[in-house]
Amino acid sequence: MSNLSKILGGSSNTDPRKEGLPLFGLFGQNGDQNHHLNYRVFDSNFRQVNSPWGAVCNSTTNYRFGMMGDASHAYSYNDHGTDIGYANLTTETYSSWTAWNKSLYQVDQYPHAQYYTASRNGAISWHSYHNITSSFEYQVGWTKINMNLPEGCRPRRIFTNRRHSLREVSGLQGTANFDHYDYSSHLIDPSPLNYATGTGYNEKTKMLVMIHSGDEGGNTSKSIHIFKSSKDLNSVKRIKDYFDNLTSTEYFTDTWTNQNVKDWCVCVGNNGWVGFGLKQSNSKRYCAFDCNIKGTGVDITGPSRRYLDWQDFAGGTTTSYGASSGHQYYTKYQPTWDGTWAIIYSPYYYYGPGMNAFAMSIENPRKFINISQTHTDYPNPYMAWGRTGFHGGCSHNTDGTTWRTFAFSFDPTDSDHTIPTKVYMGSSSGDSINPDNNSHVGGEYDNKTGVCSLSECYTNLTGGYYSTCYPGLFGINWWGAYGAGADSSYGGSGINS
Amino acid sequence: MIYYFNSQNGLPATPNVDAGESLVKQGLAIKKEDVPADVETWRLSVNVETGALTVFAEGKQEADALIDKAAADKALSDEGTAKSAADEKKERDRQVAAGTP
Repeated sequence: MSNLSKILGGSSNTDPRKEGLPLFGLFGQNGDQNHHLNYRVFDSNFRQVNSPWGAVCNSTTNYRFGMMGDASHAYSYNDHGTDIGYANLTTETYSSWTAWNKSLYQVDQYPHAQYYTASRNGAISWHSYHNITSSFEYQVGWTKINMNLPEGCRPRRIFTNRRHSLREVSGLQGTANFDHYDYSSHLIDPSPLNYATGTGYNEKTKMLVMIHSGDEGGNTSKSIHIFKSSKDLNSVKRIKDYFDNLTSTEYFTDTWTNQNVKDWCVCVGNNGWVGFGLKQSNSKRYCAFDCNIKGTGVDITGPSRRYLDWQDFAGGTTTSYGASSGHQYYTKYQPTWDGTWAIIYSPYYYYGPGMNAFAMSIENPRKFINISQTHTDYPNPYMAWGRTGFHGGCSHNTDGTTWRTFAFSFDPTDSDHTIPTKVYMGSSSGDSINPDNNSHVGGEYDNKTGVCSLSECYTNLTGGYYSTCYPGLFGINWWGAYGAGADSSYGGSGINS
Repeated sequence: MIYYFNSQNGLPATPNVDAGESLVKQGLAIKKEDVPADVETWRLSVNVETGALTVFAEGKQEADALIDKAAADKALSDEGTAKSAADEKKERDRQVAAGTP
């Protein structure tokens, strides 16, 4: 493959995992599935990039994706009902999982989505109804490692951590483990806890940080292990190789409030500080700890490594559900395309709309702010957008207006926790995006307590149907090759660069 | 209770005074001091033109407010479905009249 790449002029220095700037899919239809259907894929500049075949049907042979070869939606369209177009996630119970295509829970940093798969050419297919509640993601997606990777890379290997075992698995499938390793012998806490409940990895520093708890429910006892190896976990042939080449192992213990341990997210920073965050009741908690090497037996309690104190979410909150209501509703983690910022997030409102998030610098997880979007209906997931941002969160009716999204972006060079964080935001008109003054468009937010309240950005995109339409925002499995050549427009520059 | 609302869409932003005052200084939030503390924030909004506070299903308990929201959402959805059907019929009729079905 590398030889072919050289023959074709590819660079052997580019990580083969590296993708161009993020793409997203936009799905629009009329209400009865029987006439109009439209699914398109756009790049981060909102230019359409999919193949033209997946556009519109106007025939009773359509029945959503009957003509497009999605067996789960052919003819009778039973599997996911009519929920893609009209589910607003305001009053459905949290067990109404067929309505969750637009939920905030749908997309995280991993290329696979919870209930569908979608290619960059515009082929989309929903997972079968029949085994979804026993699927990997539905039951144990919370065991996936939160990965901090190089620019443009998403996790292409899936490692999970449960009890004292790291496994490599094939995502949503029930197929065989690729690998399994019991790391019990490497735990140095003299009284190790049995349940791995949150794991983060930083590929740049090869640091793996695990939380272990007293159970898989709400136990507050915590044992945190910090591993560093000379081998990159994402490059080893066997997980054992990572642990056989450890260069440092430390731990500390603490007592952490948690409604459910499956909600823990772990952001392992480039500077050795690690951010731990989760959904807690209707709110959230976050705190950064110094996980740099301290020496054997030094700083083995949480407070000795902590940056200030735990921060409750400072934005608006209301009744909302997390892993305590069902393990599939675990708190999500997602970095920006360039891997300089990340969000730990969950819905604002009951069953999926809105967003409560902590956004933190991956360079320095002590730098963090609160992100708040308080919609109570017609949601969409959030996904990485451009170089250092995210967008999503809105599927409101596009009849008589254009499709809206909540887009926001960070400064990739900003990692100083002693100064406010600047966030770039959009608005509702060109004159406010590019104003007749020299003001920054967006806001500046104090570290720790500052709240960035998101506002709608009006796009020029039609929802996909000329009358009532609530467009769905879909994640894409593969954003496209990075760099020059045929994909030169996805080379990573041009947005906030 | 003091609460701060997004100055563009009128939705709740934060109850945190430090964060809220910072938003107000930047023109990003509207401060309200007369916000009832006994309703969930999803029921609160501010008219960004007039500054008037609205409490959805005012005077009702949360469970009843959710029932009202379900009814309002269904009404909106039904309205959209009916409009789509009407729009399509109108287009079909136009095409028939124009002789270009």
